[in-house]
Amino acid sequence: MNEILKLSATEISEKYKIKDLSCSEVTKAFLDRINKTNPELNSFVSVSEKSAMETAKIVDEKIAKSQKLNLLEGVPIALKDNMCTNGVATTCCSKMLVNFVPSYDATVVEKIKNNNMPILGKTNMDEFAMGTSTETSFFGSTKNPWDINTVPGGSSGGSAVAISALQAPLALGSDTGGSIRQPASFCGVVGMKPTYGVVSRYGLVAFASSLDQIGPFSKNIKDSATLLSVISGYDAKDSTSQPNIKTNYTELSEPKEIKIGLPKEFFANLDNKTKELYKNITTKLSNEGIIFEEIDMPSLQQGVQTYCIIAPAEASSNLARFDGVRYGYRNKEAKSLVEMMELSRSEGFGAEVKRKILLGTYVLSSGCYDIYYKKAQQVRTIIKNDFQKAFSKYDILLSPTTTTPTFAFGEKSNPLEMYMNDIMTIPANLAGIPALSLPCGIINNLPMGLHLMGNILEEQKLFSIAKKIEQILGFNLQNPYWEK
Amino acid sequence: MTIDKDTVEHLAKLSRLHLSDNELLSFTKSINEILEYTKSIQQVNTEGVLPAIHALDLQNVFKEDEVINYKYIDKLFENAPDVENHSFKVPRILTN
Repeated sequence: MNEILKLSATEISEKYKIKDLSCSEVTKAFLDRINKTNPELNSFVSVSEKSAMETAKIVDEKIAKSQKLNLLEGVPIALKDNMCTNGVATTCCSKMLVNFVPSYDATVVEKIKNNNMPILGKTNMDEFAMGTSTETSFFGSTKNPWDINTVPGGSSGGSAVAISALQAPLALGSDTGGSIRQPASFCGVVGMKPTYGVVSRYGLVAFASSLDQIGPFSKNIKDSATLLSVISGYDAKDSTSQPNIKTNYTELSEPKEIKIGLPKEFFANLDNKTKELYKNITTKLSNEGIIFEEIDMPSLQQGVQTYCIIAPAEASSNLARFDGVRYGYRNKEAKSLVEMMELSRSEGFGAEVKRKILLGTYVLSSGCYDIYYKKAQQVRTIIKNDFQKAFSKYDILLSPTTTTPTFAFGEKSNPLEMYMNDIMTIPANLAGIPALSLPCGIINNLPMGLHLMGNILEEQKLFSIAKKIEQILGFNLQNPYWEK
Repeated sequence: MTIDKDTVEHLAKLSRLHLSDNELLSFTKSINEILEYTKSIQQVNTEGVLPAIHALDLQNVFKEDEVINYKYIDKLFENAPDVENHSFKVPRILTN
């Protein structure tokens, strides 16, 4: 095992500063690791060896000349395959987009490139980010390094595995209902979803536009905060982008008094092992002076139901653009335009994508709109208000990220069962608040995550508290795959 | 409320999807299960509650109506399944 692989992103940055490591050496180490482990894990769907090494060379020239490096300059990164990369296939792991090569960069990709961070490749995901296990990818499922018979979670499963299996020190994912935090929890790494609008969605292939948000995967909180500092900021190309926001989260001060709310609804239906794990954690944190209080937030029980209406509604509208005309898969035999669109969409989309389109079309149709869509949006307001009330009393809220550790391939075949994997994470998307998953313990030799939710635009506070908790808990990231 | 196979077939038509018999059966079943599950939100008292269009309160964004020429038009066409003279080519629109 090359010791470079174990370094955190900020440790790599420090080593560049003192010329202890070259960027080419680091980039090569991660590329070698990908080449060695990807045939089994299938976490990357494409690897950009040549361009990554070219970027590394530029950084090494700067290091040689003792020039000041940008934030995370030269630290390699992996990107989920739903972020447009100029000249590199961006497939959303769908047959529909297998041959799609964007002619522009997503804003996050532009920022990564401006900071000379070598892009190692694109990571596997559930088709169009619709899933919680990475099993719906057109390119086959990704394996969890903690136990290769289990799923890595999803939809950003490839990015979570890239960190967990030491294939990359950093990765980006996208989170619509938990797609960063849930796989982070299943793979024992840190995954963070920022406040809605903190990171530009320009160039991110849309799933549910009012919920989608890009965020970082990393080994620790400091790396997460540093990467968010690189990718965040106002972008005129995204009309929902937050203006006038603070975008530097690199200085995390020691929080003084920490008051954390524990929503009862999130602890109600846990099995005994899980309950015990989180009880021990809150006891340990209480002993360090952190104050915990249980709170009632009954609207949280309606999170998944609300999401089950809003997300497909937005998806059905967003995915109307895939018609076989301007880009994407086309059926060549069709005799008329309508037949061509129907056959292209039917052959290009997988089952879960079709289900979301049909359901979304239904809840938006006349006669159903008020009962389903409008009602769900009203419940969304109530959920948002409940969070605001909670944050007037507490710094952050805490829950498990998932109710159980990861599960075996094929174990959950019913769609509803799959949606339940996001029961803890969905409310943060509905309310637009920042939230992260921090590895915190082990059940049946598999990692579990601690889900921390902060108030709107209070990333700084969330990271500071998370860092303190990380220090107290001291989770060991090492999994059996590190020895391979 | 449950939806039948005919409704799902109609939804498929509206969303330009062609479903096999098996798909029709399985989607009808799973969509009904999902709708049944969402029923609990009907019990929530939402009287006088404004619907949340977005997570955050957003404001309209205005910008000048400027023409910005795009340099890489040929590249855009490279992604199209069928092209002729800088136009997207499709099968007949009007059929008998």
